[in-house]
Amino acid sequence: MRPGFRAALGLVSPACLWLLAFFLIPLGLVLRLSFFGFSPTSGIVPALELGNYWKIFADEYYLGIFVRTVRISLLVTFLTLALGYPEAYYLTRIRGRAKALVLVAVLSPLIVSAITRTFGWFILLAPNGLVNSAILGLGLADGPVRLIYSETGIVIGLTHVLVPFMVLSIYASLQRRNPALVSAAQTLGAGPVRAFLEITLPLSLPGIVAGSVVVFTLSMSAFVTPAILGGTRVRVVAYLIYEEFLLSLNWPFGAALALLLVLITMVVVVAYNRWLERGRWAEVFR
Amino acid sequence: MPPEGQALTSTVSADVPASAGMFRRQRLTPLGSFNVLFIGFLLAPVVVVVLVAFTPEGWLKIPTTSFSLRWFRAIGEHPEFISAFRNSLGIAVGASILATAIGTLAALGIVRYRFPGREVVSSFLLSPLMVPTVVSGVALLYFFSRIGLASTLAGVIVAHVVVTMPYVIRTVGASLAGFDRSLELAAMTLGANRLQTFWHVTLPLSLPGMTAGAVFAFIVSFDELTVTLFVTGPKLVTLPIRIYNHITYITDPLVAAVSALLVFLTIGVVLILERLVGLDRLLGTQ
Amino acid sequence: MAKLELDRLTKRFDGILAVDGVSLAIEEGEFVSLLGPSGCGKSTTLGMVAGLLAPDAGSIRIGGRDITRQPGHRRNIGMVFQHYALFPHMTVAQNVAFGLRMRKIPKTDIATRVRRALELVRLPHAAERHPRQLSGGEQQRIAVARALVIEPAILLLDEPLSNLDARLREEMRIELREIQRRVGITTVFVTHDQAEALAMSDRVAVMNRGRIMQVGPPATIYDRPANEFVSSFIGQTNRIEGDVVGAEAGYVTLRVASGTCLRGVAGGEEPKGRVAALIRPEKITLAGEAPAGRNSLRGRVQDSVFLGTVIYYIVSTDGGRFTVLAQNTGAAPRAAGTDVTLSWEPAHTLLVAPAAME
Repeated sequence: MRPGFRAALGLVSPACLWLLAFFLIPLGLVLRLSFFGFSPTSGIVPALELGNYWKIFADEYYLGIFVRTVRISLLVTFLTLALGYPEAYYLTRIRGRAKALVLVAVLSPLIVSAITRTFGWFILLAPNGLVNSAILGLGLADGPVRLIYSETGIVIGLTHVLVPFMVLSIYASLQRRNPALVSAAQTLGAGPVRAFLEITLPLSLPGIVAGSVVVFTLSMSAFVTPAILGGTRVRVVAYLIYEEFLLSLNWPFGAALALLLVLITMVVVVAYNRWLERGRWAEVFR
Repeated sequence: MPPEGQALTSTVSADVPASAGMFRRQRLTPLGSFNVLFIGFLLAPVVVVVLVAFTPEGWLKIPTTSFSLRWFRAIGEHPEFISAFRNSLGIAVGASILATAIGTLAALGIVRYRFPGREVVSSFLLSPLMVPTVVSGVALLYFFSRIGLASTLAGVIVAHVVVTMPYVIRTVGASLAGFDRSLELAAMTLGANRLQTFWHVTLPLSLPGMTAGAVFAFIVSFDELTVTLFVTGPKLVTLPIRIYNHITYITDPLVAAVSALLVFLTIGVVLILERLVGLDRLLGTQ
Repeated sequence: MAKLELDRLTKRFDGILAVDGVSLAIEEGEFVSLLGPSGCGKSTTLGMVAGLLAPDAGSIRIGGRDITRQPGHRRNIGMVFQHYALFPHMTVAQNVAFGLRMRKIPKTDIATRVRRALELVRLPHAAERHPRQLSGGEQQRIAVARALVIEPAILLLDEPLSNLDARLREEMRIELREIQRRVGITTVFVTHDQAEALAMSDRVAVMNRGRIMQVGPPATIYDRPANEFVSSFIGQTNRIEGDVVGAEAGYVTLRVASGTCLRGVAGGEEPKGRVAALIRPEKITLAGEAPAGRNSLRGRVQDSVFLGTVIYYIVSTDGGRFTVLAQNTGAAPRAAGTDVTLSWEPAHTLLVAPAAME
């Protein structure tokens, strides 16, 4: 074994061992747990059955929650893209102090805990909060619109929490582009809009994809924001898992829910990547 | 002299000049206005929470005419918040020290040595970021319950290390990426052995990245809610959990005051981060 | 194909004058190089012609029409960039077709014209490949094809050969010039490489600090530089200062520090007082004695470098260090330490006002 290899091994082993013991093994145990049974009287029944999974697919209630979570996540991904792209583009057009300031402003929400930010939305979206006052004031509705304890509230809250990730991802991608390409397009007759659509946008696709994957995954697994803005009235999968584990104490079922959450998220992400790698813009990713 | 290459690649743009300084041109373009609105959207919830903390009322209202420190003083009457703060602090300190120690070693191993399986190890060490925090929490709860670590301080710290270590590795890794190996070689040709080189050259140069990583880990641990909900017990309530419970059962500005204090604290801590490493490096945009 | 006129073009960046009142008229079908050190304003000037930068003052006319206010994407120009700027996410054919698509040319015509353009640059089989699969030289040719397929009035090239290795550069030089002649398009070529400029151009415009120092055919630029900058930027020059002591029969006599008198011709205005005499190294011969009528200077050989076709001598004289390029006639090079007499024609001695070098 080369000395460099030995040193490297020594350096990474504490971390690897730690994660092996306190991450990989627990996850493996949960996977096994999801196949166990449960009875309200005797607790966990070590067995190997698919009962938990059947329960999820057979019951509209649980399926509905999964569907809702996916729906929310897709919406949030779309919204963060729609809001994040122009902002990332703006960042590439400014320089110096202005740019530093805007970057700090975009990043600062990440530093404040998600609870505080979501609480802020809780206040803003309350029936007597600012947003409703604005809506009523503008005459857009007759009575206060239900924003907290609703899917809309969760979407707004999650969009807010996750949009900085999208901005960063797209910004990094735009930064790497070659400015001469847009100049070349111009000399060939492409106006600013055409140049953007034909050159800048396709070349920023890696950033869009990376950002979308991050936002979608985080959105699917989000707990804090949906818990505060949706609570028990609008449940998402993460909240369901919390309830099963800490309230109903049906750990095997909770484990099945957890595994399914991971599975669905992975499937969507892989499908997304696969679709793009074969698609029209495949060249952009090489 | 303006660099020749740059002259040609800036396109004729309607808004900002190629020169620095946002205070030069007064014109606000559509993109510029969007930026202002976007930043407003990002900062709104945090600003709202901080404002509500100063309200003299007993309910969640944004103070317009009179401001009061009533709710800040009220914190003193709620010792459970203060003890929760102490708990969070202790846990965060413990977890960040541990995570920084083993995370830095791992980052050193990954960034500076080329060994077979390097990519796999790197992905493995960063994998907790990919798994939903709910799932990690659930897995740890199940695992701890079988080895007797559930609801213990040790258990919580272990869990926090799992959660924060990837951030340390990413941050330290990014800062080490620019590490100049020739400095170590120079030290060795001047007569330092491996240990001395490590102590006098490698470690000091890694210090900014390590500190940034430690601060990052601290913030993540301090704000951590989801995993902690599962692994903690009634005697070990952290501040985020206390806040979360308060929001879901009682809604008064007390929580806003606590959150406002946290915001001020976090801002102070981040300024340290920025001074040490610089934002561009952290984001990987450099 | 059209005539290009630049009239007092000016451009400032942050208050620094990058292009200072540049005026130039380029005839139809002419190949003109903008040559100069980096920062001299040549790329900026090109950028203004391309419409990528807006001039602060001055005007640009193509074929008589004033296009100064016209946005870049509406001008009928083709441009080749230093790093080719081929669109990486499109195939070669799509790259070349881009300009035609922007002009809404019908699809069938596009296919034909793209094919012809690729044949022009001798890369007809590259159509379905992507730029990253091509070598530097091939990418360069595709960039040229892309610029020419739209049949522009003017072709602009911004240091297109700088990224190629030496041999490829020479090959591309010839090929580019051939293509240009065949198509007959008015061309502006920006470079910092004087050999390139001299080899390819009908005329060369030497620029420094935003101004044109001299415009003319390569031979004129080389043999009759108008000022010290041009003389020192192009090729090598020997320089010796002296005071004017007289003039007769078209020649001006100057006396140098050691007392020797040299005769020369005026480069710009009438030389008076202190002047600098500029002599090209290849115009000097090394001999034992100086023939009559020529300028001469005694010196000692310091070093000689064998360069294959020529031998490069460094000779120290009491007028300073002189470099001499002697043809390799097969005779052995003079050894270091040999006393020699440098001599050259007065007609090859250019007298200009001494300029501050930088």
